[in-house]
Amino acid sequence: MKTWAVHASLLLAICVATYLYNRKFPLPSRHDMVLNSLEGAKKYLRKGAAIRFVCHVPERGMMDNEEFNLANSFSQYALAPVSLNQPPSINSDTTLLISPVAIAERVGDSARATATVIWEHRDTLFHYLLIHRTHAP
Amino acid sequence: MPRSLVHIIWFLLLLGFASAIYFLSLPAHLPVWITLLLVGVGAYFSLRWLLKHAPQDEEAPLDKKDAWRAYAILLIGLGLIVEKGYRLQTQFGYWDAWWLWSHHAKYLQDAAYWRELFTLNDPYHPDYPLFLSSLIAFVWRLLGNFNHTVPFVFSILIAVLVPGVIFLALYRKNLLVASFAFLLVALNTEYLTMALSMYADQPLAFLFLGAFVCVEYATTNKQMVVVVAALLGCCIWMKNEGMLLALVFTAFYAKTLLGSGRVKQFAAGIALPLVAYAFLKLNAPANDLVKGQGGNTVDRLMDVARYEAICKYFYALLVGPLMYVSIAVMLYVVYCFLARQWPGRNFLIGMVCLIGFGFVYVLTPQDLGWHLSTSAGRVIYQVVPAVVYAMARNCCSLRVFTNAEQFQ
Repeated sequence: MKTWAVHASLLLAICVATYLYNRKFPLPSRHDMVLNSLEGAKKYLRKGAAIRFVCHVPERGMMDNEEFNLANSFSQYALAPVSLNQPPSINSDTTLLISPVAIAERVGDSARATATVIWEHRDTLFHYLLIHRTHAP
Repeated sequence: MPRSLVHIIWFLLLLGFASAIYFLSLPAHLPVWITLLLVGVGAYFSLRWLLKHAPQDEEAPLDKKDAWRAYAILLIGLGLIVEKGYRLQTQFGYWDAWWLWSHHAKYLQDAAYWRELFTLNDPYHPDYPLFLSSLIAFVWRLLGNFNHTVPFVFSILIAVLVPGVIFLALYRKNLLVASFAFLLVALNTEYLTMALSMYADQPLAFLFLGAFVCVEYATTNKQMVVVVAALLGCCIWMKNEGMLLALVFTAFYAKTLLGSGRVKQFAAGIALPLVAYAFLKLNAPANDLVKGQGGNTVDRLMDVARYEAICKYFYALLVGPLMYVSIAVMLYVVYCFLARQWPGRNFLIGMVCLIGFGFVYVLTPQDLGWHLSTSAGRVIYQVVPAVVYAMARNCCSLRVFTNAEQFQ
C-alpha cells in the first residue's frame, strides 16, 4: 500500500469523524447550559482565585440525581482555573451557590441575610448566586 | 519498517514531546510562540533523524490483488470506526474526561495560574501525569479559547490509529491475520467507547502498542532503542499506570534496551518525558494510593477475600465486554499448545501487566468495590491492543492453503 494512500485514508477518517462530531450537538446540552450560565460569573472572579462552593441538595423527587451531580461537578470545570470546592479553612469570602430553581427563593433570601450578592443568574434548572460575605454567618 | 508506520510513531512521539515541552515551558515563563517554535524545530529534526535511522522496509510488497484487498479492509475498518464512533461519542467525553483531564488542561493553559492545579483537592487528582492535559492546554492556548473539539480530535486520532497501527505493522506478514486483529479491535464497541471517552487510557494503550511494534526492530538496530525508550517515557508521562507498564516492559527487554552500549540510547529517549514527570511529582501532592499505604498494607495483602473479589471482577470483564478478545486469547493459547511454541515475550508482558494491575487493587486504600467498578474496565483496555498485536504477530507464520500445490 502506498504511504500517501494510507495517510490519506487515516486523515479522511479523522476529518469525517470530527465533522460529524461538530454536527452532532447542535442544541445546547446540560453541560453547555452550565457553561453558558457561569460565563457571566467569570468577570467577577480573579483567575487562579480559590472560592467556596456550595451546591444545595435538591428536595426528594425534584430532579434526578444525574442532572444535579452534573451541574454540581461540571461547575468546577466551567470556572477553572478558579478553584472551587476548597476546604473550609480556605481564606476566601466569596461563595458560589447553586440551587435548583424550585428552592431558589429560599436559598436567595438566606444568602442575602448574611452576604452581598455580586452576581446571579437563573436558567431552566438552576439558580446561580455569587455572594460576598459581609459579616460572619 | 513501513514508512507509514514510521510517520505515525513519529507523530505520536511528537505529541508526547510537545506536551512535555509545553509543561516545562510554564515554570520557565516562555512565551507560547517560543514553545511552538521549539516544538516545530524538534519535529523537523526528529523526523529527519527517524527517517534516517529507522530500519529499511525489507518486506516484499504485496501483489496488486492483495494490495487492493488490504486497501479495502483498511477503508472498511475505518468506515466502521467512524460510523460506530458517531453513535458513541459524547460532547465533552465521559465523566473523568472533563473532571480530570480537560479540567487540568484549563489550569495549564493559563501561564499565570497554572500552579493552582496542584492546590486542588484529592478527588481532582492533581498528581496525575499531564501528557493529555498539557497537550490540550497547549492547543487551547494557541487557539485562545477552550474549544471542546480539541480533546475529541485527540480521542478520534487514537481510536483510528490504534487498530490502524496493528494492521499496518502486520498486513505484509499475513494479510488474513492482520485483518482479523484489525477488525477485532476496530469493531469492539467497548474499545471504541473507551477510545472516544477522551480519557488517557487509550492514548496510553497506543504508546504501549507502539513500544511493542518498535522493539522488534530494536534488537538489530541500536537507534530504535531511542524510539522505544521515548515511547515508554511517554507512557509514564501519560498515566501513573504507565510506570508499571514501562517497568514490566523494560524488565522483559532489559538486554535489548539496556544491554551492551545501549544505555545511552535508552537514556536519550526517555529523558524528556521523565524530566517532565519528575518536575510534576516534585510540585504535586502525593498520590492518594501511595499516601494510603501503611500499617494496613500487610492486612490487605493477606486478605484472601480481596483476591477473590478482584478475580471475580476481572472474570466478569473477560466474559462480558472483552468476550471476543478472550476467545481470541483462548484460541491463541490452543494454537501455541498444538504448535508446541511459547506464547511469546510480548504476550507474557501483557499478562504480567494485568497481574500487576490486580496487585494495585489488592493494595488500594480505597473501597475495593468502588475502585474496581470505576477503573478496572478502563485499565484492562490499556493492554488489550498490545496483547492483540502480540498474538497476531506470533500467528503471522500461519498460512491458509488454498490449493494442493501450495500445500506441497
